This record gives sequence, structure tokens and C-alpha cells, in this order.
Amino acid sequence: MAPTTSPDPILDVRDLSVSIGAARPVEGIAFSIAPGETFALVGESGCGKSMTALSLMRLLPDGARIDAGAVIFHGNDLLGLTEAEMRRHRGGSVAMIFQEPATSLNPVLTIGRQIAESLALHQSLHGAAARVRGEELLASVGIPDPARRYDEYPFQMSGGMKQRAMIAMALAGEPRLLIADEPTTALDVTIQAQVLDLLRDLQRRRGMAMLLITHDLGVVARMADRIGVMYAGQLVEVADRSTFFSGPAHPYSRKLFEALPESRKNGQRLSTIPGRVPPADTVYRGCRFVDRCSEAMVVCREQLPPWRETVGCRVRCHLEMGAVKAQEAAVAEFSLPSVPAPTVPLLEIENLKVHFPIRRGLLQRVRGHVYAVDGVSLTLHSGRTLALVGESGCGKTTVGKALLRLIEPSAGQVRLAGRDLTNMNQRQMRPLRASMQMVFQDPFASLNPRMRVGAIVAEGMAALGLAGDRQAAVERLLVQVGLAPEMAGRFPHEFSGGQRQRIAIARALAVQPRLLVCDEPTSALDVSVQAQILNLLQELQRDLELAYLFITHNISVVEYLAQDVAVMYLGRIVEQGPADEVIGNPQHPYTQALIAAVPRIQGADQASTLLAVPGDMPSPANPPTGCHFHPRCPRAMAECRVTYPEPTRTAPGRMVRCHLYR
Amino acid sequence: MLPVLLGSDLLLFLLLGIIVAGAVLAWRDPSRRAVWHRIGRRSLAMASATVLALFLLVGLLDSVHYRLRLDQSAKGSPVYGVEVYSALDALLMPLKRDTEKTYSAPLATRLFTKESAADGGLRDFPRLRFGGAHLGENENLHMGDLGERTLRGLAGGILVWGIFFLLLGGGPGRTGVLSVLLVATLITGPAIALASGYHVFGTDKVGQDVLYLTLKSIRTGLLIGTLTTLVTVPLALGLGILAGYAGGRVDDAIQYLYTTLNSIPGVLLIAAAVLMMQVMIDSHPDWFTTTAERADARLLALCLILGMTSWTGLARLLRAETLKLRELEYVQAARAFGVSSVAVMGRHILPNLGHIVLISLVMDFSNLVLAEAVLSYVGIGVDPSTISFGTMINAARLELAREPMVWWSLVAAFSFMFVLVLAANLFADAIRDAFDPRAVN
Repeated sequence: MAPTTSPDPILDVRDLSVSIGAARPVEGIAFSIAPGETFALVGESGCGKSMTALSLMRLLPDGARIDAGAVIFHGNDLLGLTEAEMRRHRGGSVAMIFQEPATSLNPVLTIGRQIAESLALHQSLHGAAARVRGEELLASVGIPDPARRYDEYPFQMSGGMKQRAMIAMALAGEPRLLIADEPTTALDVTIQAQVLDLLRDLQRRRGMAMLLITHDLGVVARMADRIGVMYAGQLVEVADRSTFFSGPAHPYSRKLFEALPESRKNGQRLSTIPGRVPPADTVYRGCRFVDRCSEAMVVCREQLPPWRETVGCRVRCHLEMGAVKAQEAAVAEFSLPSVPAPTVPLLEIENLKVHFPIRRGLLQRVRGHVYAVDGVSLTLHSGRTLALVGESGCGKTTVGKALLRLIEPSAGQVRLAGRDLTNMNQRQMRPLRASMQMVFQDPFASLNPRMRVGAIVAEGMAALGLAGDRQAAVERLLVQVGLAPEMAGRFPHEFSGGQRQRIAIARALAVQPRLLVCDEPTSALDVSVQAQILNLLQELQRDLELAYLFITHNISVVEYLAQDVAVMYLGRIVEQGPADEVIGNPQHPYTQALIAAVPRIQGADQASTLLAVPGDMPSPANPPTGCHFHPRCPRAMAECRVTYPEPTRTAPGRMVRCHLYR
Repeated sequence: MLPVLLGSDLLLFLLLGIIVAGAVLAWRDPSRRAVWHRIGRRSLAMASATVLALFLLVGLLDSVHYRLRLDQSAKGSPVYGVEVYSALDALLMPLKRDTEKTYSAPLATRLFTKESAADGGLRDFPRLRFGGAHLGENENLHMGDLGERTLRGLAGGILVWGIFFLLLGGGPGRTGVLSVLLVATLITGPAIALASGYHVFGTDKVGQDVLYLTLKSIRTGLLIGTLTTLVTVPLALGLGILAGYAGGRVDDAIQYLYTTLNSIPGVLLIAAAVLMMQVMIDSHPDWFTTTAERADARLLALCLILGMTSWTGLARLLRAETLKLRELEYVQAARAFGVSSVAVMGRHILPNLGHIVLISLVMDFSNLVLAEAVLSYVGIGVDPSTISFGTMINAARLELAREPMVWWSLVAAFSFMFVLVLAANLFADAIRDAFDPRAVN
């Protein structure tokens, strides 16, 4: 199969350009998709992926205009249709699913009503017929008990369930082409695996073409037949999956791969892409990637590179194909000194519990508890990283906040360097706050938009009354995290996500902590920026002997950064041990499922169907009896339904709580 | 002459002093100065600021009060008249003094209603005592005189504007100021020229000049708008942020307070409070030496009562926003540093609520001016001797029902209120934009 054009494409995009005023977020995009094929658009945020998808549907935001090009769908140019004709296609033969299932469903209408709306529009089904068809659709996307779910409201469903419902709605119009814009980005890995399997299965059964937009190369490896890499509004590479994953041709594509944290790079610096995607109103003469490219030549600045074609691949680069592939990425290597575990741990958590009371009724009596954290014990040594892994809602962030007493723990002990924190009042706690700090997930919410960067970084020093020249300290810290000292006078909104996260790290470092609680510090960032932040954290750990409690759901980051890992499920640690052992040889069925669910690039060609854990995590307000995992566990036994397993030491330093290892 | 300092004057000058002091302090901080420069470069902002300044000028002139020394008591301890005048009264003395018998249309020379002549002659529209009196018998010169005065006024206006133009020169933001001043001088010039011989906006039921009434109303409007917010904002900010940030029982208590306040019909509550205050004022005549002082006390009390009843909406809004901000990560980060709750509220929450406060203040401003009108209608507003937009609009109710209609009171009050509220809105918008750090320079 020729890589760039499909023999009989259902969708053929030709030279599509979009402009918003002077900005040109999409320029000269051309690709085609055959029936039953999945075409993935990959790139950092701000590269124009979503804008491309929206322009195919002609759903561009106000002010945006399609300047040129054609979108041939099934022989018709969608751009030439009237709005009324276009409306028949939208949600009908071309359907779209969005990133955030929580906001793409109308909260005041039942799922059934929303599906029926689409059925009435595109299939002219009404009343009982629509209901029958709607329930069929819900069943086909794997929603159990569709007759009951049909009448439920979105809030009654979990995130994964909502995304399934969204897919059911998209399928209601019998689409020939499905546009999926980051369909699993907001979901947990196990749920992501379920949804991806579902999409692939549906596609196979219906022969539907799919345009998948994602930034996750793992998802691409699992789903795509062909891949288009977008950079700054242009396609820079279009390739078959096998060609792409055996050796991406464009320097940008290669950089994206190198920036991925994988265990094989443990201890090495991750390769990063310097700079950021240029703003959409930049005027280019040559190659758009030239300023960030490590192999830029003079000609790159002067001339727009032509498309070069080889077997299975088309690339827009001045470099000779062979030359590109022969060059091996020069990764600066510096191995971390493996820190020997000192005898006295820096942080000891013993049987930590955080229960939130549920109050009901007129008198606000306590009617139950949410067992957010239910007996967690961890130890962490100076200069080491402990990763706390689990799906959202398992209580891992609550552990981090309870350590800092941002949430009051209900029971248990937290000892920092031998001193018990849990019995201290806020005043006694204050001097110890300098020893541990937190880096938050969302760099856009963690900096006060009305304060200057200098004041933000100095806030901790001022609050804890640290002596010394604060301005000099702020400048030193900004340099330490890789920013310029004169940035202290600016406001946070002038910075990119990665830079903001650096500022947040500088703020935490300002009080010279020994322990840093990192709550998903890279999950809101692009992969190349994630690499920069991970490098920075590694360097800081080496230089300052920091201990990290790294809260994350991203297994590949754990492999790269952590020495130890603890897997959490519904408020309890189910498995704990050295990171490479736990990830290489997971023992608890939940850990196994979690690791299996991570979409990987290696072995992508086998297109393996991985076993996905069924169902969702139960509510921590009402955990299942016995082992919390037994309703989803493929190896559950009778005993699992009765008693929660005690910790078992399976190897030195390894602990697992499962009846299989008694 | 005996200067008189009414309670509201004191508060108004105090407020002005605080604003000036704040402006001086802000000017010293270079980053803040940059913000004000940004406002200074916007034409619309400067134009609305100029309009506000003109209104404020009228209001301030009207806040310098004095009592005249009576002539016959030249010897011994001086005796002063009971009537309190303001600087504005002094400027507009002819307008204040020259009252007609009853309604007359704008720029008219005769009354609006027919009367039988005293000597038993024909029923006719009698000549005004002052409006167009200088024409004497030559009433047919009326139109010509109007035209001539208008032209003279326009010429004078342009001349004054020319002086402003030379003083200010060009520059970013200046166009806004100059164009507002041009409009203002082009209106004021003819108005002054015409006012010396006619009633520009006509006269009301008891023959008072409507232009004078309108100008006097400005102070009342400004006072009610600003002094009430002086009561509202601290209450709303303090209680709203406290409820949102502290949560728990504090939140319960504050919520209880404002839901209770809100569930009592506002007018009823205000009426009860005003009547109580009225009884108090009436039973202590010795507290006040002049009627102006008594009317002023009533105005202040009205501001207080309006403020006490109107903070709930803003407080609820601020509580909700604080609940949202409290969970944001920068607040969590500050708490992780052990920053005290007061500092978190002051540094992280308050500045991020600024836009809400500003917008709701300006919207409240117009609502309050209107509320005053409604309350005056029920008879629980300002003292009947106080001239306000409310009393004017209230009077217009009956005037509009007449045949033919008396429209000029309402139109005059409406157009001044409209310009005032619009200018306040635009200016608040500009300030909010300028203080938003995300705004593009």
C-alpha cells in the first residue's frame, strides 16, 4: 500500500489552509483515509491538530476561516456544501468524539435522550424504535445493562462510561468516518485500554475510517495504520505504522520519540526539544522546525523543504533520507550514582488514614465515610524517589496532601526525619514546612495570576521567615531551574506550561526542602516539555539530595525516574518494591493489569490485544468486601470476597497484598 | 459667612482624600504606575474619566456648605441665616432664586397653563416673571434672541475648549479627554448663555428651574452611590471571603445571616429602618440646627440602610468565587508554606476577586440611584427637601399623566443619570482591563 495516498479514499484532504486573522494555524495539509483505516495525527499542542479536525467538520471557531483546499468526502467536497447539507453529514456520515467526556454530554438530559436526538436527526427513528436502537448502541459500546443506563443522567456514570456513551452517540448516525480528538487523554490507563479496544473493535466490525488525534505515541502505536506528524500547522511526515515506528524520518518525529521516558533510559538525560512551537502568526521562509532542529543546515532557513518519498514514508525535510536514518541520536549520558539507602529514612508513613465524613440530613449527622486513604505505610530515603502509582480516585493525591497537612489525616503517623508530624498543631508544624514542599499538577492553576514571578518564588521564604537577601535568592533559584533572572518581574501568563512548572519548582525549592511531593507534575505538559521537567528534577535530585514522593499515573515516567514504587488501589497500597522489579515482574493482578494497559511503542507491530481490566474503580465510600480489587480481578477466588489480604513479602524489599501469594 | 460641614460632606471629602492618597502611593510604585499609564493611553477610559470628573466637580462644589451672615445683626455676636447654601448655589444663585409660578416649558417665555388675568381679562398663558423677561414687550424677538444666545454660547464654548486644547496638547488618551471636553463646552456654553435669560430645562410644579434641580441632584446621586458602597463593600468582601475560605460553622453562620436578610422583602426592611430613624430624628429636634443638617442625617442613614441590605448579593457571589479559588493549587501551595489564613485571603484571594467587586459596584451604583427613586416614591427615600434624581423622577410620574404632558423634568433627570452611569460603567471596564495582568500591552 502506498503510504501517502489510499487507493480509494473515503476522505481526501487537499491543501487545506485555515487562518484566524494573521495567524495561520493550519497551512497546506493534505492526507487521505481509506475505509476501515485509522490515520493518526500526532504533534505537540499548538501544532494545529484539533483545528484540522474542526475544519473537516466545518466547526471552526468564530473568526477562523478556511482559506484554501478541499475536503473530499465520499466524492463530495464538504467545503462546497451549504450549511444545511453540511448538517446532514455532521453527526451522520462524519461523527466526532471529544477529549473531555465530562463536558461533552449535556448534564441535564438523560443519555437516552441525547442518543435519540442523533437517531431522530440522521436515522429518522422516533419513539420506541429509537429506544430499541439506542439500547443496541449502548450494548455495542460495552455498557452493561443498557435498558437501565438509557434513562440515566451523565452524572450517574463514570468517566469511561461517559466516553462509551459519547461513542454510542457518535455511532448513532452510522458514520463512515469517525474523528476522535484525544479520545482517551482524560481517562485512566485501564479505562483508556478499554476504550481503545472498543474503538478498534467497532472500527473492524463497521469498516469505519478513523481520524485519531493524539499526542500519545503509545496510543498511536496501538491504533494507527498510518501516521501524520504535524508541526506548526504543517504535516512534516506521513508514514506507515511499521515504517514510522522502526525509524521516524523527520527530525521532529525522532525528537518526539527520544523525549519519551522509558526504563531503558533510566539514569540518562532525556533528549529534549529546545524552545517551543512558534506562534501561529509566525511568517516562515524555510522549514518551520529549523529553530529547534539539531540538524539544521543553511538551506533549511532559506527554502521550504520539498516532500521526499520512500517506501512507506513521505517526509518534508532537506536531509537525505538515508542520512536521517543513519544518524543515531546523540544522547548525553550521565549516569546517576545509585544512592545507597541510608539507615535512617527521611520520611516514614505508618498506617496513614484519611477518612472524609459523609454528612446527611437536617442535623448533618455523619452517615458514613469516604475511605480516601485507608492505612498507607511508606518509607522514603534521602536522595531517592518513591513513585506512588494508581488510577485517579485511588487516594494518591490525598496521601501527598495529608503529608503536608493540607488535609488533616484521620489516623496514623507521619515521621519526617524522626519527628512525628501528625500530633503537631499548625504552629509547631511551621518550621518543618521548610523541609517538605509540593509541586502541583496544573502549572496554570498553581501560580497566582496576579503576582509577579519574583513574589511567587519568594512567598515561601517570606512566610517561613527565612533570612537573607531574598531577591538574590530568587534570581539564583530561577537560574537553577533554567530560567533567566530577569523573568522575576513578569507575570505567570507570559510563560508556557513548562516554564510555569519550572517556576513552581523554584518556589518549592526556595525554602530548601529535603522532600518534594510531586503531584503529577508533568501530566499537563507535552512530551518534549515533560522530558525537560524530568531532566530538571533528576539534576536537582543529584545536586541537592532531594527525596521525591512522585505521585503519577504514568508508568513510563515511573520507570524513568523512580527507584521504588508503590501501587495504590482504593486507598490502600497493594504492591510495593523496587521500581524495575515491580514493573518488570508485577505480582498483584491489579499491577499486572495497570502495566498491561499502558500503550507501548515497543512491539507495536504485533498489534497485541492486551487483556484489559473490566469495569471501573468502585467508590471509596463503599468499598467492596474482602479484597477491594476482587470484582475486577480475573483471578479472584472465594477467599478474596471475604477477607482483605495481609501483606506478603515475596522478595527482599517487595510487598504484595494478594491471596495468590500466601 | 459661617462654613458648615455636613456629615455627608465630611465622608465625601474623606473618601476623596483616601482616593488621592491611594493614587499618590500607587504612583510611587513603578509597576502600578505602568498600569495607570495604560489607562491613560486609552481614549475611552480617559473620556469616561473626564465625564466622571465633571460630575465630581459639580458634586464637590455642591458639598462646600455655608450659612450667610444676616445683615441686621452687625453688632454683637454674629447671627447667621438658617438656610444652608453651597458653593454651587452661589454660582447658580439666579437659577435658585428666580422661581416662576408653576410649570413652564424649556426656554419658554410664558407659563405652561392658562390663567385668568387678575383684572378679569381673557384666560391666557401669562408671561413668566423671569424667563424671557428681558425681552419686555418685544416677545416676537424670542426666537432671534435664542439663536443669538446659542451662537454666542457656542463661540464662548469653542474659545474655552481652545484653551484646554492648548493646555493639554495631543497625545495618546488626550483625544478622548479633548473630545469629551469639546462636547461639554459646546453644551455648557449655550446653556450658560441661555440660562441667564431663560429656564433651559423649564420649570417644575412650584416654578423651580429644572436645570438647577438636575445639577443639585448630582451630589445626592454620587453620595448615595458611593457612600452606600462604602458600607456594602467591606461587609460583602469580609463576610464573603470569610465564609468561602473558612467554611464549616463560620460559613453556616454567615450564610444564615444573609439568607435571613434576603428573605425579608427589601423595601419592607428599608421602610422599617427608615421609619424608625425618622421617629428618632423627629423626637430629637435639638440635634440639628438647620433643616439641611436634618435632611443630611436622613440621607446618611438611608445610605447606611441601603448598604446594610444590599451587601448580600455581592457577598454570595464572592463566597462562591472564594470556594473555587480556595481549591486552586496556588492557594494550596501557599498553605503548604504555612502562610497564615489572613495573608492567603489578602494576597491570593482578594486580588483575584477584584474584577467581580468592581463590576458589581458599578452595576450597584446605577441600581442605588434607581432604588432611591423607588424609595422616594414610597415616601421613605431622601428628605423631601433634598433634591435628588429620585424626587425628580417621582414627580415626573404625575407630570407624565398630565395632558399635555410635562416631559422635561424626566428627560433632564434621565439624561444626566444616563451619562453618569454610562461613564462609570465604561471607566470601571477600563480599570478592570488595565489591572488584568493578562491584558496585552
